[in-house]
Amino acid sequence: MNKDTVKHILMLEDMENDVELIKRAVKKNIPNAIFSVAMNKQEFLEKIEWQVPQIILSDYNIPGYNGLDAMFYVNKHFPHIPFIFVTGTLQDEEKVAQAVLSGADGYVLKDNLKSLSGVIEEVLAKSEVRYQAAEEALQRIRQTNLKIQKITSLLDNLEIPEKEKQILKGLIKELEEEVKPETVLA
Amino acid sequence: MFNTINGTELDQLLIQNSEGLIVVCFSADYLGESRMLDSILQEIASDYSSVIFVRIDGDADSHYAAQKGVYHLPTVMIYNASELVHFKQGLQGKAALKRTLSAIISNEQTA
Repeated sequence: MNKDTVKHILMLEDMENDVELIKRAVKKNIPNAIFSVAMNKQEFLEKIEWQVPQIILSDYNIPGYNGLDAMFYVNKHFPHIPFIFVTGTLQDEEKVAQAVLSGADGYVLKDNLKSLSGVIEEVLAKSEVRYQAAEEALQRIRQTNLKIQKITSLLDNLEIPEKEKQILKGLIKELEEEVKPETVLA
Repeated sequence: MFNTINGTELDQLLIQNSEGLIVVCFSADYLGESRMLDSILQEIASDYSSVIFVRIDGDADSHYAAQKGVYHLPTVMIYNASELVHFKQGLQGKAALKRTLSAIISNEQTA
């Protein structure tokens, strides 16, 4: 793992103390980790769009939400992002099996957080190829959006006949529809 | 201080200042909204001496901006103690930005 590259980790965890314990456990071996923390469903759905994370760490029981539902959402909309359960409630072997068979990349029990950074490194290494390919596609889409924004801005200041300006604006609108970041992985 | 830095420098800053508060504005000179936000942040920076304010040229450094999830300029991100706590696209007013910063700082003090 490149120590000079920032690793962005999204955490779904409603307990502030656990957030701090998990951060500390991760930073021991991954000092360049940057976190986003979601404490409920609304924050989770918002923050996953902010800056697509390299990995998601999720509790199993979140008031008003559920780690499995979060995982199904990620698998559907961001299938390249690895998902790890960090929870105190997976002692039940059946639940562990259900989580992993349903698509989790791993799980760590909260009373064994010392193993967390090792599991993250292992999962990141395994998922690197699928993550890179999708993330590069997303980055190209974001760059195209930035170019469209620039063309639109420059067009506004161009002195050309209104009819031609409207045709160009129509074409730009069509392009915008084609490169919406949220639809590229769907 | 509100200096323009590049993506590599921002990554180094995020690693070196892992306990601090960093405001990052992805901006572009050709956009009126960006120029307005830059001048607002320039003003605010003098009110928050403990906070680092930096600007990334999202036009020249569009590859890095896209890596950070930016697809519209300007975009402001705020990092607090290695956590991304704010991500907002578009022009934001001075009062709104100061409210956001004050809320982050007061949360930090009560934690």
